[in-house]
Amino acid sequence: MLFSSTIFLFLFLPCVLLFYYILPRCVRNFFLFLVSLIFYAWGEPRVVFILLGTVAVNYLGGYLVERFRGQKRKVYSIIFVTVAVDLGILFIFKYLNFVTASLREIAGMEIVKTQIALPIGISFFTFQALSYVIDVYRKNGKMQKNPLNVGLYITFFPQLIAGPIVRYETVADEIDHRRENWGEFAKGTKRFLLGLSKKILLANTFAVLADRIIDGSASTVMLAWLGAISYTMQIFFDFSAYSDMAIGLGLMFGFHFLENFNYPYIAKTITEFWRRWHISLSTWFRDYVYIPLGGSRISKSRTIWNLGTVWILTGIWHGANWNFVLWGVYYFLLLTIEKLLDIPRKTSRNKWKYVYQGTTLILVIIGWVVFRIEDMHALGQYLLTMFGIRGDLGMDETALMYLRENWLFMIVGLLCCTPVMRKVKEKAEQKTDFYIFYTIGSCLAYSVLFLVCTTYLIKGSYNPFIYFNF
Amino acid sequence: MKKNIEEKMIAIIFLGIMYGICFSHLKTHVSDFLNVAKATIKEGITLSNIEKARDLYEEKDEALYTQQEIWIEGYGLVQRTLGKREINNFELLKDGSGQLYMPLTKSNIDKEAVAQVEKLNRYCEGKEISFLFVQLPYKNYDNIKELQNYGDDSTEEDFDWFVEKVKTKGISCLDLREDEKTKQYYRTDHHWTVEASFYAAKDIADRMTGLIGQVIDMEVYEGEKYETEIYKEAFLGSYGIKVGKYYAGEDDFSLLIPNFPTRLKYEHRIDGELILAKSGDFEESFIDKELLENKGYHNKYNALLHGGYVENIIYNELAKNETKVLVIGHSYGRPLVQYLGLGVQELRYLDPQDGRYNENILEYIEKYEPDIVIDMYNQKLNLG
Repeated sequence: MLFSSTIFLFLFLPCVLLFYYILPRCVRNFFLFLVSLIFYAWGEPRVVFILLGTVAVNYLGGYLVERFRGQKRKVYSIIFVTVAVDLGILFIFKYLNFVTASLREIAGMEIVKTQIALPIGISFFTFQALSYVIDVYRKNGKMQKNPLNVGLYITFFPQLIAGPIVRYETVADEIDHRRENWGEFAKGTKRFLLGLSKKILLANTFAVLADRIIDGSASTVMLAWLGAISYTMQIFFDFSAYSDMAIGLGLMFGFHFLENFNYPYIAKTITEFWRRWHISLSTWFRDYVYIPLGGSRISKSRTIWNLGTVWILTGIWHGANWNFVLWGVYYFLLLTIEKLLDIPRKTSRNKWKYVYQGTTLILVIIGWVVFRIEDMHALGQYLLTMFGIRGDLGMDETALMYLRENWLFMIVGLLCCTPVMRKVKEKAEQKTDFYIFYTIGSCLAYSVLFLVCTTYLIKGSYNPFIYFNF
Repeated sequence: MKKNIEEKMIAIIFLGIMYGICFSHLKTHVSDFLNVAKATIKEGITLSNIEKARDLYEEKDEALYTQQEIWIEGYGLVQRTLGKREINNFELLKDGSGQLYMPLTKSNIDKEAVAQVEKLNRYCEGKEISFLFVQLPYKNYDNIKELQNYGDDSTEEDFDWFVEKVKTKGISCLDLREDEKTKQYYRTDHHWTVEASFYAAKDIADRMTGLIGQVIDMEVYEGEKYETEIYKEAFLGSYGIKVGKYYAGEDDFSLLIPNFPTRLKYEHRIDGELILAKSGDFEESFIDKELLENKGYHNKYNALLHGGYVENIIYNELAKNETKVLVIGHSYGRPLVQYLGLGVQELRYLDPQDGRYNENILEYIEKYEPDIVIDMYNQKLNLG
């Protein structure tokens, strides 16, 4: 079930909210766990048992860690087994097909092709499950005695299929002690509507452009760049929209998830980009992989090794294909160069900072092309076209047509990539007279946006879900 | 404090809209759910049946909203405000004059269809029945300047290829695309206009006189012998209903009514069974006046030939000849046969599209024994 669907918006969500607030507090967690399973089973009835299995394994892992706390060897063994089972499930369902296909193609080995389907959201809920056991071990959150609460943490529907990856320590206390209130609920509603609008109006529009241009093999530089920029916008608005909706829905039920995106396209360096993009993933890898490996508190060569490990893992986390590995390596190289040349510090205060900021954005756009195109030959051709080695340099009428058709979405999209609207809101809050007009305008805008989104949902058929790889 | 007021007002509006829509459809949702659940329990609760039930329920949910004009009209209004020429991922395009098009990148015209025309022609020759292949025009945006970069529509090229192949095989062929008067289309629909079909009937009748011994009554195709009846802004066609009248506008729907005496009988049959029979003058026999006058019903094209879509039989009781004609074609044939039928004694019209007349055409010809077979269809037929 997708958030951007009429079944979710006008059946599932209203019923869940109604029953949630009618039910006594003592059964609310169980209720949320149950509806989260229904939410997941709606799209993946065959795979919901894997989700339940993950819950059971990690509940047991957390219980045993707490039971044998103080007995280091036993605890490490428990963590090792739990992590192995979690990653084992992830490997079988996500990477086995890729590994066997690669061995067949590259090494010529005769291995039977597997037909294992990838459960949606497996990367997200596996990482959340790992976070539970590790945070219990690190005493960043209390072990849950009630397995249903562990189930709720891992399967909670707002973040189950598209993140953000919610760390157990973030919500540990709220699982048992949250207090919903109207103010937070209202905040959540606004956030949810913002996310819904970004997904339906911006992300889906850019998706049409990106898919038509990139899959249609662009023949000119202009068209190729338009396709790349469109995908850059699509993935940002799609992903950040899901995070907005998840955060908004969380607030409606009294949960406070951390921010997952912070205007990443205004980043001045690649290092800064990764502090603004998919923050929950990058911090997860930092805290659970990079730092335990030693982080940057060791020799330079070891630091680079650790960075390489993290970035290859980051790449393949996104998808079981070589282009994702390449994408991970791409960022590893860029980040290593920035680190070795100390670029963030050197460019922060001189005239080159804007030049490097522009360069950062271009590098990010190129990265998204690598991310998008799975076929290596097609990727090569597309990149050659972007840089004029293969494509024509002149004006492209088709590109102009796309720009003419989508000029408003382009402008709004560019604005929404920057904190301009947030600054307008902050200024409005400082001036009472203006704030009245701002409030009325904002209410009207959100109402219209909700209705327009509904018409797009009902009428428009293009509503891609791009996280099927995750 | 200030922040909260804005957010709380938005929340109230959101909940109002969400629950308003939810409750207004709740009865249908519950009834659909119970029906689907009962059917699933009857078939057995297996994972694949549950998945089928889910898909069915989602279809019903989608249908629930897409049948409500307000959402389609709202969507169309937004697109019009944005000045869009393409709608819904290039599903529809609109040119500068408001004409809507549906891009067709593949027309399904192939060698096999050409071979079938050849087979049909040979069969008719064997039975000493005249045969005429008629290439109908089709609404496309090939020559529309403002839509040049909106994607390719290969239909014209495919039709050119088809006609060339048919002609090379020595088959009598009439390409209606050469007559500009037959290339008039409704803005909001894929069909040609009634006027276009009238000119097409005239062109076909003209060609028929050269092919068959019996005389076709060409007087009935003189334009002055008809009066035009116009239903203003009455027609929202197959393209228009996808985007609503605020985006597409509405077409005038006109009929050409003979001002000379007519006495006709019309039958619509499905699998040989009589579904509808009408008789009287032109309007009484062919036109569903109720549909035309129903302001809530948009697809006025269905008023022609009473929407007959399988086997249609027209008897002209005032015919000055004994000519029998068989026409094979899709829904463009509906208005056309109304006029073509006025010049002959009997006309039968079969629509061979999927789910319509899918029986063996050769067997039909053998039984009916027409004087001429007019094939207006570019795709595969059932020829046994």
